[in-house]
Amino acid sequence: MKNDVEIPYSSILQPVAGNGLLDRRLFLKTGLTFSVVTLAASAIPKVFATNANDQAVDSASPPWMHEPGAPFSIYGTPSKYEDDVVRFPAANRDVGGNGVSWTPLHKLEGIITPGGLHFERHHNGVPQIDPAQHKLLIHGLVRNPSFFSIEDLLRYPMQSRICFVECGGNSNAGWNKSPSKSEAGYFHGLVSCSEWTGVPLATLLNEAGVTAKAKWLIAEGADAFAMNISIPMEKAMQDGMLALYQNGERLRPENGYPLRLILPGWEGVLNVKWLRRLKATDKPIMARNETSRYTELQPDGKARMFTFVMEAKSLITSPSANMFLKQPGLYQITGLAWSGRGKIKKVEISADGGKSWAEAELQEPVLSQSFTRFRIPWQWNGKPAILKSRATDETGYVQPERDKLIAERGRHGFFHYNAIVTWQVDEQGVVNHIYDDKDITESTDDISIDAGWD
Amino acid sequence: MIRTPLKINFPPPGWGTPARMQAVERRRMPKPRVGVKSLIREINFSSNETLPPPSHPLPPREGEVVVEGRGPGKNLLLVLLLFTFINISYANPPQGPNLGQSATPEEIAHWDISVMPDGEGLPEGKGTALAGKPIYEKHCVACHGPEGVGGSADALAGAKMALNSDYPEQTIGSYWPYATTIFDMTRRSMPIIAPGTLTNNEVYAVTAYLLYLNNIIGENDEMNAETLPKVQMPNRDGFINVYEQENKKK
Repeated sequence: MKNDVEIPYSSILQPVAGNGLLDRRLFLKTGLTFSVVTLAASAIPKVFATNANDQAVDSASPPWMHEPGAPFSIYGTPSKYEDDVVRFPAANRDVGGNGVSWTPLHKLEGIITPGGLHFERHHNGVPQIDPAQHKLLIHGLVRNPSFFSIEDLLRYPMQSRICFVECGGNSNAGWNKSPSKSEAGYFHGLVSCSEWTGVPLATLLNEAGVTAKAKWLIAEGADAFAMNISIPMEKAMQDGMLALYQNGERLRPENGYPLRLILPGWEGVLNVKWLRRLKATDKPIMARNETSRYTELQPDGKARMFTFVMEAKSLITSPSANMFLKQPGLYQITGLAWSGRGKIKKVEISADGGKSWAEAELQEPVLSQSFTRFRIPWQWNGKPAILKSRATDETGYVQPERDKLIAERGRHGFFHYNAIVTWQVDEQGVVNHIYDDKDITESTDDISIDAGWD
Repeated sequence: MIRTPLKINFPPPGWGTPARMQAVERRRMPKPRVGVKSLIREINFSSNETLPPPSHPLPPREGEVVVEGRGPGKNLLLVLLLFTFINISYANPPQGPNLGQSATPEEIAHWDISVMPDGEGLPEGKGTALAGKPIYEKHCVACHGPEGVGGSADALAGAKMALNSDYPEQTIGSYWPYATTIFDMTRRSMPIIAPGTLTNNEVYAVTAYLLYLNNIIGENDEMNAETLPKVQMPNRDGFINVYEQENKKK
């Protein structure tokens, strides 16, 4: 597996950072092909079968070139050979509808998450809502309390925007003392990115006539949890959206069909699904999910509350945990970065555990509060390497190292973990998730810090 | 082609039992009973469908503040006066077709189940811990454990480790800042297999029982719309409002 492979051009290229990181424009300049990182080596079979005439049917003449293909379909599904590109669900043992499912970020490319792979967080299952019976009530400190049917809302002027939605509890395994062994998406995949289309919340709030006293908006879902939470009026008016469509089609049931809130860049729990009610108030309701949960306990025993913005974060999705580099040579390191405060300004990559860094190419489009795809070429020499990515957003905020985050916040905050992720490539080409801070040497136990998602 | 099944790491990261609980001998809980009562919180979706559509021939123009009756221009002077002191400085969103159907106070009362920390929204009714114990043991114990400890769901009582310790325990008594939150959540979300089926008296009683389990009230103290908001929660001042802090910096 470690045979040296001749890489044309690479010998004449100067590395831009330690341990084989090359100029990010390499692929653009030369159009070189590069190795594909695989989860498991799967050689292409030389011979599939023989056809009726006993002619060899091989990769030059595969069977699907000798028979008509499948007929048309009314709604396409992924190839059967992609059946491991799936969400990873985990729920409360007594309540099957209370839990999460992670997006397989390590299996995806680009910045748009397919609708069927968008992460889920439900408190009591996915309601199957008949849109003809669903209504939105806007009331409270408004001059014209009103009901809106879905049919009504579909007639309103709409806008589209691409943005991520990230659960406040995403990546919480990072607080644990030993590194998670899960694939990248099943560790960090409580975040997804879609094109959302719907009615600007401000349009309806203006029609309802929000009074000057109204500083908060209490949103409520029509699920079996009747999930409720308080949203600052300022944010609702600024860029809140009543989303009806996701990636061009109507919302999926598990993403809030027929109506959900989108609050770009703010933690997922505020983006209430199955939205049925918005009550304008002068103060927050202090709901369970803004007091008992989605607050972050600090080392001094105080807890951070109303920590709405998801701070800048990035991770390398390929190569990433449990992947396997078949041989030394040229690889493309790629991954995702995002910030709830705006655009990603730069993503730096290190292949030597943070000793040196090189700037990755940001794939266009680079959008505010959206996934941003980054790429950089890397010449793996077959020796152990430690890969990291570090995002900086347009406000100048830099994604922190893990030890810095823990020094600031302790271990019991559960929510808002956004530290730099470290992947170790060993001599066999196997990629592992590691900590390279003091937990590596100090930790002997295998303690999970907190309970799940009840 | 032989495909290997998806590797499942279970439990997944961050999804486990708190270390402190692993040492606790768990009792087998009886499975909850399903569908014992009919829904009392019925939602009448079609109640206003016979109302006439609102009459306002012209939508308000950009920047105009609509005062009453949802039509612009009727009281332009008042509108302009109001505009001088109502601070609505929102970006210009697209103009909508104004299709909302007016909601009557009765309809709103029927829909609105929000309970605020000052007690606004609390319904009539009452209950004590003594009355709440059997209700808890019937509807809640399966997931939350006897006396709020040791279930698969949130621990509700019995915190021994302090919030600033290595294994902090976040229960109602040690963590929750407002007693009204217990009522609001229990009424809307619980019991999890049949949410919205408890009467207001039952919700008051369960709320009282949970406060009693956390040594916050006595077993005969009555919880109602007057008394519940006055309950002083031990961790009432344990929170930092990060949003407010950031706004001040701005």
